[in-house]
Amino acid sequence: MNVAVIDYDAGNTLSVTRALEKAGARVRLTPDPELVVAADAVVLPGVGAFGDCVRKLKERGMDEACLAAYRVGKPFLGVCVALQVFFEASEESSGVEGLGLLPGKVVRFDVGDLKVPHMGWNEFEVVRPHPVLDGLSGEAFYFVHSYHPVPEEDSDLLGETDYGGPFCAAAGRENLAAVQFHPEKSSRAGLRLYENFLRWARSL
Amino acid sequence: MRGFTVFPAIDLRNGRCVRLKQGDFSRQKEYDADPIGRAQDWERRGAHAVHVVDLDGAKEGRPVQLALVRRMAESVNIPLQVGGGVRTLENTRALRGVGADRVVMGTAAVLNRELRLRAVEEMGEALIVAVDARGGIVATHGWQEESGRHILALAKELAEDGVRSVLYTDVARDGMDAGAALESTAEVARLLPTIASGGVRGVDDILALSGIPGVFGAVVGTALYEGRVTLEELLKAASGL
Repeated sequence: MNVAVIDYDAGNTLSVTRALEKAGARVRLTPDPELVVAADAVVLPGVGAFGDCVRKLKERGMDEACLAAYRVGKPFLGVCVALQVFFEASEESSGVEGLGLLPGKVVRFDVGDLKVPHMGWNEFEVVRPHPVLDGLSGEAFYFVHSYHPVPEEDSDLLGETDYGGPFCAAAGRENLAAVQFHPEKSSRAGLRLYENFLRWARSL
Repeated sequence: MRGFTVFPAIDLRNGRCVRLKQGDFSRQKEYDADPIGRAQDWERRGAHAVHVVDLDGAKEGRPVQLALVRRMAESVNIPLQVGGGVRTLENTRALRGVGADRVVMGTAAVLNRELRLRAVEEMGEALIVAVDARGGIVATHGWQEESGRHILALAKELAEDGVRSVLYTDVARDGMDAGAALESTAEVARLLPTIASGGVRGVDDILALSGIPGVFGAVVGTALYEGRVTLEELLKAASGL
């Protein structure tokens, strides 16, 4: 299983790569859209602002590579802000279009007295069973974010976490799955997610 | 939301894992584990994050152990919080570039408001400002100098400047197994979210600290390395079980 991790100056690529290797993948960290399209499976990491991520993807022609990889049915995993980028738009960066693979937009936390960003370990609940999330309901994961997506289609919502109310912490459809937390910083449960992704990818 | 994080500390000197007493380089104790094995062991035993101090960096005024921090970040699957000699934005970028999730800036962020504002702007929640105090007075430069400022005046200014969280250390207690400084920690935590450091002896200190509003974590070093308490016991106390 050759996994392409998209290298677009997004911060956490190194730890994502290491975690996938530990989970048993042959990983190629690449800034080359052609290698992304040619891989068996694709992982889009992400740290930072929605608008920055979209801009960096576009500068490298990676937006088209992501769309192509999704359309041809490649197993595709998004991490952290990549989950948000799969949606159509974000309050964080008005006027910037996301990849639009999932209908809905990304909104800022409105949680009263609770601190934003939501930072630290928090429990995750699976809403819709998915091979990538197998065995992960009730596990804690590491989060750092101020925004979260609101899927328009209920069927795209895969998992939730509670922070001043439940929010979408995992979403996906078809060959696409994405999580808001950082599995590469979430110890054993995080490694399990990457193992799940590889097992799912082999089965597609 | 799990509210309280226990940060096992790994202090680096010459590539080794050591402890100092009260930040004094002449009072050093070395532990046998290499830092990478140490970090992996903390993760295996349930740590949700590790606190790393580059003591060579603290002495020289710039991060020195970057290659080692990179190897540690590659070797564990939990967040690393790293400090020691972080004086410039370039220093913070270098540490983040080798895999530090959060960077602790001390003296420079305390003394230089312009730098602090730029670091907040650039790093947001990835910046932690270390507030070190001896008897209520801010200590700087690896604790070897005192600034004459009161910690609460400083904490208020940090909160106004948008600093998201501070690491508060009572220097007199660090490495001394003296018990945590509950009152002064609580005062700082009223002003902004605080990680307590210095003097944590065991379960009672974790229970007390985790009950203080605004204190969201504690760094524990000597008590763990001396075998006075296990990480598992502290994690259990922190989770409220």
